[in-house]
Amino acid sequence: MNKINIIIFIVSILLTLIFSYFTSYIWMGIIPGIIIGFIKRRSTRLISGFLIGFLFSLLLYLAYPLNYLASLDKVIGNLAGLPGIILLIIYPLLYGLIELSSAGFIGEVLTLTRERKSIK
Amino acid sequence: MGKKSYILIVVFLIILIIASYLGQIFFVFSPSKQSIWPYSYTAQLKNQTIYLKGLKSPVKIIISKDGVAHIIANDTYDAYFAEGYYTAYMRLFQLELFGLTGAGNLSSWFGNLTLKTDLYAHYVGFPQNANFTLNYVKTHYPVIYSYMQAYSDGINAYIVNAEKQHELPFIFYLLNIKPYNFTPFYSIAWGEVMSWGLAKGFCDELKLTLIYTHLGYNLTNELLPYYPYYTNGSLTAMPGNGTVNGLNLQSFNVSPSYFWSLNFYDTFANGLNNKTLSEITPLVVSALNQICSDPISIVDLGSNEWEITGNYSYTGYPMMANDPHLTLYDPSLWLPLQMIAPNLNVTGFELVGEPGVLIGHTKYTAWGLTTPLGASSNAYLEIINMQNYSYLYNGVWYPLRKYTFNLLNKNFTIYYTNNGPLITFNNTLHLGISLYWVNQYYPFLTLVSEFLLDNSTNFEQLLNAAKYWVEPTQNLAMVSMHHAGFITAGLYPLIKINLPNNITVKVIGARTVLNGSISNYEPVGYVPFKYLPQSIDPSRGFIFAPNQPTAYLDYPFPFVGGYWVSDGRALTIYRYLNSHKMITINEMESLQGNVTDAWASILNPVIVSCLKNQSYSGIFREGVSILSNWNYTFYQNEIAPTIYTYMLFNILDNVLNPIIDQHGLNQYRPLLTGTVAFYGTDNLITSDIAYFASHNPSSSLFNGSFCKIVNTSYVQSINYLTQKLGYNISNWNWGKVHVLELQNPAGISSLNYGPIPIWGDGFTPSAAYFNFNGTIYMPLIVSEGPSLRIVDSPSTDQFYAVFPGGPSENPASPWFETQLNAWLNFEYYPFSPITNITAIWYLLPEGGS
Repeated sequence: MNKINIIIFIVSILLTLIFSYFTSYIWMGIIPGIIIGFIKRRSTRLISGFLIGFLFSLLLYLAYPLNYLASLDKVIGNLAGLPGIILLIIYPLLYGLIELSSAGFIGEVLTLTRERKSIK
Repeated sequence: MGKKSYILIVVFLIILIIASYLGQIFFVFSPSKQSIWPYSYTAQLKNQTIYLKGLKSPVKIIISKDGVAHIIANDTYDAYFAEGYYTAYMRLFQLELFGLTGAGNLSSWFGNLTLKTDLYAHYVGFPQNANFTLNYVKTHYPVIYSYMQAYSDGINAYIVNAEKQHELPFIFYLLNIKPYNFTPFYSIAWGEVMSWGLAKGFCDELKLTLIYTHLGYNLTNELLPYYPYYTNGSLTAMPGNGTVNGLNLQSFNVSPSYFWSLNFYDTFANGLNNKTLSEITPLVVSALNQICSDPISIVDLGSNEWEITGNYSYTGYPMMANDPHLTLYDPSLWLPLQMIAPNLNVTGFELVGEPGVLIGHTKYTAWGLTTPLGASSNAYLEIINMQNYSYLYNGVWYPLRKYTFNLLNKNFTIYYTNNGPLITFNNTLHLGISLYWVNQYYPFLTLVSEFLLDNSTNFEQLLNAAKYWVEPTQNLAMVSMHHAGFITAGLYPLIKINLPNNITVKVIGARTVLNGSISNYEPVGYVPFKYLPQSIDPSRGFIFAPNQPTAYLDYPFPFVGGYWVSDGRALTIYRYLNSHKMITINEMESLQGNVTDAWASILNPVIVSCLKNQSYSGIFREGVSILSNWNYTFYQNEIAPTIYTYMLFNILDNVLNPIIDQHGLNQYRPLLTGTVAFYGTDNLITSDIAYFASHNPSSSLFNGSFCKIVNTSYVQSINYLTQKLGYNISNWNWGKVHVLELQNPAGISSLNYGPIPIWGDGFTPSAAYFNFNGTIYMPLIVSEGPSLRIVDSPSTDQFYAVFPGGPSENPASPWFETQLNAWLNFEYYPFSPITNITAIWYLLPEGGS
């Protein structure tokens, strides 16, 4: 793995943690996604985009007292008519998808730009 | 290559838009600190130091393992401030919900869903009355007002902190609503709601009008007598013939036997003839639907209390027990706490939303409350003209007063006559029904009374506090170091009626709607404090007031509007207290946990003797054998209560259905619930059945034969139970068909607790009420019962209590149902000394150290 990719991973992980904990807008996940978009290999870009978004926003639940969080999740799940686990996973999943899609989008744009430059 | 990239760009863009859109919808469930999850921090109670703006000096709150908060302050204002802060920490959503209910403004949170409830609140007058009281207390009781303000300030201080930390109860985020700034207005308005929930008169008069106009006097009086059949001068709350401080009915030259033989549905008692009463049926039904269908459903009726004098107690000192029966909410309506400040040391239960302790004790006194069920509101028939908005009074037309309010950007208007708001009117008939209620005319000084109780140090001060009590009228149980007693505290409006023998008597309430277009039936004052039903240090050594008639036939201000429950609990309690001396604290607790049904003890032997004359086999025979060996207790593992209860349902249906059908009351069935109606939780009909079954089994009520009714009902009930529970009778446990469900106060059923098997029924001292409306069903859901239990003896420093819940409203918290199991198992917690400390909070003035 090259140095740039490692830096990209670290920066995007940090931004994911900061944005998903402190902000109220899920689309802030686009920013780490854009950074991940600079990874050249498409598969690495997409997998890491999804995993960083999903895993590190999921990790943030550890900021709360887990036993009480689990009890609260069960109650709210019951209220929403959904299994509690869905409530906890759905947001990280969407976060992962946002990072994946923004990384993918940027990656494809960069690929097209590079192709056009090489044609010229 | 390029084409693929273009396609991918489009796909990624679509995913991005959809995920962003869905993500915003599900944002409340995100791990963000702006989500609902920071609320999980409040589930745990830990030591903390909190700096609060508005606090004058440091306050310490010690929270014990059983969920009782001990608030220790250097200043009374700070004690109330800390109470408000603690209450908000534990119950913010409930507090705000109750306040908004009283303010008649739930629709600002819930929109059209709660518009009907808000209109109801304005019709009865909660916000209007609250404003009236607020101004009065502010002017006349500025110190007490400052404590009410301190309580609100404490609540608001918590709101500021919780908003900052994003730790508001999750329901605020889920419903996308914001807490409002709490003020004393909301405390008073919520007090109005509770007060109305326990007030009697208006709805009972409407129901009785409906029943009387369809059944006539004889049948109405047979089914719903002025006093339940088993009442006598020993069973009334005030023992004796009704004489109070030397005054009785005979003092006004009226013989009690003459008085109570009269037909109080007649013109002399209400100013209306039978024809008019019949013609206004549509109005009566409309008023019942408007006001008496109870959309708020906060409180119901019931409660036990008894006091033992020193010479009848084991310790030689007075004791008391109290368990108010209310809707069992989760979280509870109550919050246990102690408040200590210079000249204040009170422990007990705060009614959430009301500052101070409503039921509790000081070092020297203790008090409790039950409902006396006499009329403090009345229904008036008004002659109106809605073309020019006027009403007729004593032959003169007066303009209707207008009250306009706005909900959901729509204006609503309520019209008032001199008697109160017009609950309903009919333009064609030019008639309307208005509501008179004490709280419309008299400030709600019950709050003042509560502050005085919390500061009481002797019996005289308890009695003095009772003088300020307004509504709801309550049997105030009181004990001090050396005295025990009760008084029916509150304002009973008196109506002057001219008896057929031309003697005028002032009575409480009515049996029907009253004529509002003349002054004759207007309230002419209240029962003087000296002559309220009361009993202090009685020679028989005990006083008890579990909603039975408060005073007997010779009471000087007769309860024509006395809508008593069946006497079932009173009988069991009386039988025990009358046969025991040297009563201990443990015996007091056991009596609170008694699950014997007095009506079963009277009815079941008659039933069994009927059934034994039949030649049953198989499961039918087994059922008779179980009933024969039953001792009338209602424990979860017993089978007899199941058979008895379902048989009683069938007996009630077999007796009532022909009457209801024959007299055209079928269409009004849903309105006929209540103590003086046919259905409900603890009404007179069951005691009627017990009385007639044992005294006149060939009564026309039973179509000539009670045994015939019993046999039919028995077969019906065994068939029903077999169909529902199978042929193995050993599986027919009471706990299987009779279950407790603690209700969420916001009506969110998925947040209810239960169902779990529960003891008791509607007539056992440890009551577990279910509703019966004529339709036989299973399981029987219990949602009302002892909302707390206390047993106190100030002289021996013994104060025990338990309630079905915990301090916290956070369902994830271990403090949500702290005391529930103890309550279910009839166990108690001592209020003091403070042991097993869970957390200590230090509340410090902002800028202090």
